[in-house]
Amino acid sequence: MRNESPVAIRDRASRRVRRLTALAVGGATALTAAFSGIAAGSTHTKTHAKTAPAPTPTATTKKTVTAPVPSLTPNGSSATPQSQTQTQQPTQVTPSPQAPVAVSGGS
Amino acid sequence: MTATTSFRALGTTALVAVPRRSDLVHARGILSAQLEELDRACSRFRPDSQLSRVNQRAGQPVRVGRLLGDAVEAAVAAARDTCGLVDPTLGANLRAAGYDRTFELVQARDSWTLQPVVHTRRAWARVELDRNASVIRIPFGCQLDLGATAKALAADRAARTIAKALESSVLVSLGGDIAVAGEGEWPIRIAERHDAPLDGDGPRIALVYGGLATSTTTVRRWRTDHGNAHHLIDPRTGRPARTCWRTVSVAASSCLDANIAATAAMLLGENAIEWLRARNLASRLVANDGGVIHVGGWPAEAEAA
Repeated sequence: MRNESPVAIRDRASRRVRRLTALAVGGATALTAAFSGIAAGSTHTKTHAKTAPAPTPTATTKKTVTAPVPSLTPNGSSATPQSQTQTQQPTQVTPSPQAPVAVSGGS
Repeated sequence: MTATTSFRALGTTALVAVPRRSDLVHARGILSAQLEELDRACSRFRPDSQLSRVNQRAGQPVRVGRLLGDAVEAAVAAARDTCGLVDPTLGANLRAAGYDRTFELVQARDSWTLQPVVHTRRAWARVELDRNASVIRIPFGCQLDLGATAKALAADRAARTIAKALESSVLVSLGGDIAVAGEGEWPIRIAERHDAPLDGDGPRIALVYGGLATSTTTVRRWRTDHGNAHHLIDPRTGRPARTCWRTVSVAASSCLDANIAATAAMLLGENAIEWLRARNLASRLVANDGGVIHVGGWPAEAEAA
């Protein structure tokens, strides 16, 4: 049995540690890539109806410049995260002396 | 001078009005084509419609066209914006209440035995819509009914399309749900029924923009073994709503918003006044006892009549 010097033993152990470290890093990288791929493949671009968190009814509204008629968003509501419309003016519904062309009623 | 024409569509009356008589045929052609497309996509009573296919395959993804995708998206948004009051997932409840076929056939029936139904609350929040893949999946056991939104959405679309095509102002009415587009002022009579005569008594208002809708429980009614039922289902009970209002008319930035607000107001009962006021929506509410309340700048009756 050959007697190795302490230096040789240290060098051999050191090489073994480097090899194991390289293997561990490579394995971790490969696993990260694999799981990233799986996660990306399982995600779709979806519109999913979510439960409304706000306690007050709110509305998503279109921003209009010329519209005198408001949409459903309440004035001064703090629970309007999706609303683009801020302050709204009262609806301009006026009495009409002209002969009507249509009837708004139940159907 | 205004030219108007009307015809039957979607189980009700469709009407289009334009300032120039020469534009009328073109306008009617556009409206008619759009309504046929809507019926093929969104009818609950056509077995071959896309909506029927979605309802038959509840729980499974179903490929649909763009129009039904838009209609479902608008209906789910309406539910979200009204905290579930205007709920598109009440189709099974409507059937259980007796509205399981076209209204003409429902009315022709002698009576109906109210069926028990289990309504899953907030099912609308679990409607999945993948716009990229044009796929809809509704929860198992759920049935969509787009009656509260699809007609109004169609009126808005048709009015915009016609106004653009003719470079003119236009009024479109689908069963009394009215959308206007272009520059113009449209005189409209408010009544309990959309098929009431133009020259009857009652308020007349002018609409220059957006839409106007009237919701009522007095027209679409039928006989059951528990008395008369109507089409307005309360999502909190799953049954035809009991409300203090007989009719609510609302003007808003679109016919869709007006219809959503009118439906929500009917269901909110007395709380509707504050709800409409907070949104500055010009509204006219008629109580069951005939009393009239105006909200949000709706003109006084004496001025309007």
